[in-house]
Amino acid sequence: MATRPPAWPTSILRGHASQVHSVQFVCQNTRLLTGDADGWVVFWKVENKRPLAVWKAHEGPILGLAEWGPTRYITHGRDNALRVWRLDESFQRYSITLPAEPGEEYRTIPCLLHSLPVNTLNFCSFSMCYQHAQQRAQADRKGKANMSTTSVLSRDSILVAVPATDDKFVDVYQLPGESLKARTPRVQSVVTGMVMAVKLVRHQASQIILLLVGYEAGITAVFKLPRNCTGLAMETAQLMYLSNPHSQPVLSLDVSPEGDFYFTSSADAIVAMHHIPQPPPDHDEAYGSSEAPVFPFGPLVTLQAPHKTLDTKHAGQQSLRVRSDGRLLITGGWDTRIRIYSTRTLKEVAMLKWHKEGVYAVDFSTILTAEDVEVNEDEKTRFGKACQEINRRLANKEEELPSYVLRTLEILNQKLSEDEEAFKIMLRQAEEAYAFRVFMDRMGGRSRLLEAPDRQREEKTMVKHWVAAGAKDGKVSLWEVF
Amino acid sequence: MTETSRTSQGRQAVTATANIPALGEAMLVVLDSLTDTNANNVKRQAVSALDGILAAINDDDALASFLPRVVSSLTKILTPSSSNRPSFRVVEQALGILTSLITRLLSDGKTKDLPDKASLGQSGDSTKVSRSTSWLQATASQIKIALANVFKLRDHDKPEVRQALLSLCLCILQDCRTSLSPCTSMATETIIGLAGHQGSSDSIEAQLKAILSANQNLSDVLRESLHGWIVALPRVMQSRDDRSRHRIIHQISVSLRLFEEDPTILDERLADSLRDGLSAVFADANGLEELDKSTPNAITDRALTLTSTKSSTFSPIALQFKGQDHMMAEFRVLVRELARSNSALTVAEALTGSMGSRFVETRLASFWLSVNLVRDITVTNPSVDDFMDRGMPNPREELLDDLYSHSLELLNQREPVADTPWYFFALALETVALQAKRYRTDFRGELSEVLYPVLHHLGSSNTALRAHALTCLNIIAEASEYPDAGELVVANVDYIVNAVGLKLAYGDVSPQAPQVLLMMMRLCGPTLLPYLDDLVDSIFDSLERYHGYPKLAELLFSVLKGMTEEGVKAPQLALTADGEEKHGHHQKKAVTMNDVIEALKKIDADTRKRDEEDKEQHASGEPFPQHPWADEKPPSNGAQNDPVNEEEDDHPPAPPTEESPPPAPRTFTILLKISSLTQHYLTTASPHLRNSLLSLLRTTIPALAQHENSFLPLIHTLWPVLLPRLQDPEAYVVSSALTIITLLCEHAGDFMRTRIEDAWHSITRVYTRTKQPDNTASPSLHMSAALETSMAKLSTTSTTDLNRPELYIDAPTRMIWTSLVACLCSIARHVTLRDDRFEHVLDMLDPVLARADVSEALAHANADALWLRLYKRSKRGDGGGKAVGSDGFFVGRVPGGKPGWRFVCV
Repeated sequence: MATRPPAWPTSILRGHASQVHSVQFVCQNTRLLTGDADGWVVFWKVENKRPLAVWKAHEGPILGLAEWGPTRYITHGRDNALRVWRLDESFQRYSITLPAEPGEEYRTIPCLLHSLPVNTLNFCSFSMCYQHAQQRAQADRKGKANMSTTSVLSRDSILVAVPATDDKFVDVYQLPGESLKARTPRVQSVVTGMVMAVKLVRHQASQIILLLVGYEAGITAVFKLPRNCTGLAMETAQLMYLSNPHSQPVLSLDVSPEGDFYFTSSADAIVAMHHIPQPPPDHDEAYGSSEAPVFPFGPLVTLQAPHKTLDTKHAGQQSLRVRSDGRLLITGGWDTRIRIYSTRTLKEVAMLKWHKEGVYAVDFSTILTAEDVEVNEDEKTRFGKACQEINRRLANKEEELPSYVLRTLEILNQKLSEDEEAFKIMLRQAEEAYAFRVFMDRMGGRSRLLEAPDRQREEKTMVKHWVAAGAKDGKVSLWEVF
Repeated sequence: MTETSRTSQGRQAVTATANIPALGEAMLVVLDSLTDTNANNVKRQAVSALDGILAAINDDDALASFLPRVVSSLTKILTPSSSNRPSFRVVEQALGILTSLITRLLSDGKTKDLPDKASLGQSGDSTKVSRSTSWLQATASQIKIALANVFKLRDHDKPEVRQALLSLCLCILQDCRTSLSPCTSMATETIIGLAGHQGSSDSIEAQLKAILSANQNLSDVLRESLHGWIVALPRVMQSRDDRSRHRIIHQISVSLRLFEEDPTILDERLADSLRDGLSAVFADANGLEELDKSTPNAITDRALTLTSTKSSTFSPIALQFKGQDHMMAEFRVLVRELARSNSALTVAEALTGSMGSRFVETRLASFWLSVNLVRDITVTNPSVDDFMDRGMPNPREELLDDLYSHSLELLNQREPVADTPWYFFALALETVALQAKRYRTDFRGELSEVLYPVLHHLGSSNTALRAHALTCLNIIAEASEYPDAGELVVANVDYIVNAVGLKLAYGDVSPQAPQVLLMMMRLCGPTLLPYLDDLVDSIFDSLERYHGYPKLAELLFSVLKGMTEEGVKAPQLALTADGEEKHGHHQKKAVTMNDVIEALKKIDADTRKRDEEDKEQHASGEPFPQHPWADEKPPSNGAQNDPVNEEEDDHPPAPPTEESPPPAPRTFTILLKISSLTQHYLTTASPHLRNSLLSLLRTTIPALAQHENSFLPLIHTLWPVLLPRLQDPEAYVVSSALTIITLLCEHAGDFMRTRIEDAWHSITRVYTRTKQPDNTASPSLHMSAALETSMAKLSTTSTTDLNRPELYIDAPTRMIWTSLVACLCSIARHVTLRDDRFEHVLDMLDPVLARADVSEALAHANADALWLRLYKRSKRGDGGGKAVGSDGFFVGRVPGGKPGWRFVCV
């Protein structure tokens, strides 16, 4: 293989004053969430590498971050809390003083929607999965044609997996219901130690939600959530797969988008690839029959060898992610390097070196094609843009808005925060009114105001293949690779 | 004559055979008077007469017979020369005559049915010329020669003359295309010359345009010749004849202007020719380009400043020779003309295509042309597109985008290719400015990619490029609505930090990156510092790798120094040190009377307090005090402080006043890091670097001293490398090292006691060094009188009246001595010394004991010993009046502590 010149990061995001524990691309790669050891979360605009919102989400280190729908973000901190925030920068300006700078007393922060008390004694981050993800995924793929039928969007309840109070177990909660839906059983055949990493994933072939767990003893297990937690009562997950590829605690795991393979990394030098067996169907159909209670814990599962392992010789792979197309996986390790492997062969294909201290978190951006980007513009984003423009003009005192428009906007905003469906109906109605439509056209969407370079740049940002890595030194490096 | 010609009979009569000789005579007279006189009046009359005669001659054959003579006479007048300066009226009229003559005799209409052979019957007639094809040929060649002279009039200052000339040319081009075909090209050139005479405001041009649009023939002619010129352009450009080169460019540009409203299909050809032509110019320039590169100015001299003149237009790119500059100017004009035509875009597109060529000149030429073209298009077509709905992308903007991305590539090259001529960068900068102007505030989003490269070239060694970069920066600032370039930099400093950080992290050692960093530091101040911690690491990495390159190391350290200088301004660190000074570091060893009294008082107070407390406790029956003891301290403190003017910290354990200092800000960490990293470089081979490191420490120490917990370990780290600096061969390094010790003593106080104790030997050696050069005669520890006085003289200003012939002391020694005095004073003031050491200090400082600051410092340590020493000295009496004087001065001060004592002057 020809040696290429070493890759350079596109950019370094400076601003965290302590270790960066979590990085996450959101909003179709246009934004990046990073969280540090002091509980600060920064919401970056990838396009210009500047923060759009900075707030202290937790009193302890941030363990994990995720995006829930278009404007909701979940943070998980070591202060025993899982929080959901609403953050929409098109409606509001947030404080952007970075943690590294001398702080300001009063901050405008995103509004808190949920706060769920969870156990965070170990450093295990949560994982989330849409409960009814299938339709949503379709809507995303198919684009505009299906946009009108996206009524499922309002049903975007999610499942969140976190370590249970007894940290050998995993609890699965449902949001926004905040109710406990499932718990893993004790793995009986081996001593697992406490939970170190969890991942909820939908097995695409069977549409069953699986829970992947990594344990302190280097053991990893796959559980099946019965009936995808749609039942009313708390249920017990069913063990499907068990393996012990590592000699050290599992630090991170991630799964292929199809849900058929997953990868674990640990404090030792091994990266292991596991094949997820076909999950057995639910016993729901046979609910009345007597077979269901026969194996309350499923068949006895014994330790199996992983599908493939790779001894990287670099101990301490703190963070592992699989890219959304399932072809690459990335690890960030204590040896300060970011390494990219092919998921098929587990061969190292790139090594990124910039950080001088251990890398604690890595993330791939979602692979988007130009089409994905194109169809993305639905009413809501257009409305959001128009609002952004209105805000800007109001701030600059460029023009007086008719009070009628302002009132409509207000109502729309309100509707948006409550219910997206209602918002859309309202928006349509509002656009029936000629004046409003003209006004909106002038402000956003079809007008040229936002089109020109901004939009282009944003689209460019979206289709780029980014890698973000946060390290102990409080820096986040942004790379553009493959 | 005119009258006669009114009637046809009259005309007949004029050319009647009998009258021919008379007519000929008259003609001769008129023509002679026209050519031979100097008087303008005569000439004018002659011309009108000629006009009359010619008009009167009806017979073309007769007229033809006069033709050679008339034409040659007219030519004589019309040929500009120094001896012959007819008035412009004459010239105008003469041109008119020539025109009408040619029209009458030689126009295509008249000549097309001429017989092939001269008719025999008329050949005998001597007075009449028989017109035939051969006659026509002969005449045409003669006329051509004549016209060649006449056409020189094209630069005549009078518009009337040029107008007349134009009609002459038009007549040739339109009416005599076949008959006078040899003259066509000449006439065309003349027309172009006439049209371009004074820019486009000229009326001739408008007129010409009108004619062209109406007359397909003429425009065909013109287009043909334009094509010819375009094809010839590269060849002409390679010729050495400057004039012809200018001319062809001029011609092309004017004709392009003339075809403004007319879509011409010359684009491909034109693009190629332009490029080739221009690259010929660049090829000439390239050979000598290296010249101005070989005069590099020292890197560190060039501080990057943004405040200089606010130029907002680019000065044209200058080439080596003046002549080439003219050529470029001509090309500019050409391009400007081209930009107006509709073909401009296609040409530009063709040019952008060839920007990836293998040859530097070609690439450069294409780039130059397309940049200028696009700019001019933007200016001249204040885009109609902007008002139209853009169903499809605007080709002009696409072109600009292309250029822009090309420029970005150029500017963002990771390792700039050494042989890329600076013109490329200059052009890229111009493109960036164009794009900025186009997008206005929206351009702000681009800054993350663009800003650093622009700043980078601000540090270029090429003056012109630097100017370009500055202009570009100003334009960007203006376009994206920042008040000025400085604001632009400050507002986008994160991007610059990013870029510089990357450069440094990957070991790029071009001087620009640190320079830009330094400039940013100065502009942004201490708020920037928290973001720079990894940059500091990188800088030290580069220092490690390139420590052998003193220039670079110096530059890097100047950056570090800049950082520290800004850093100490940070609000958290800029706290005035006065409050902290009484920290209880300095302790007096000698127990004074006051101490005893104080101690007694304290014991007394304590017992009393205890008694009271006991009483209280008994009274209230409480087993334990209710409020913290600390509350009770202030009253007793105040009571003790009032009478004696002493600090209370003489009591052995200075209570730790603050529980824990506030957590050190990030800025502090960086300063600390810089300071502690210096330890590895203090032993460097370059004395200059050593010195700059020491001066860096000098800046940071006062700020760092605020946080004792990290300051003292720092001293611990630095001390082992600092101490050998006292033996440095370079005097200024020694002096700096002494200054550092001074500072350390001042801020760390008694922490330094054992270290000073251990270093005493070194200090002594410094002392011996100061007196070695001129004290060879008596190498003992005691000073010779000569040295003593000279030292005293040098270091005191108050006693200059006590003159002695000065001994020369070289500057290094003096420098060390001054620092040594300051250092010893600081030691005495802040650090507890053993008695014998203090004696030694007195020995060393003997010559300057009289100085107020010295004596004060020493008195701080041990006033009694000082007094004794001064007393002894005055006793010795060697100094005579001087000693008395200084003693007397001193004596007055000491009694501050001992009011009862009086000294007697001896």
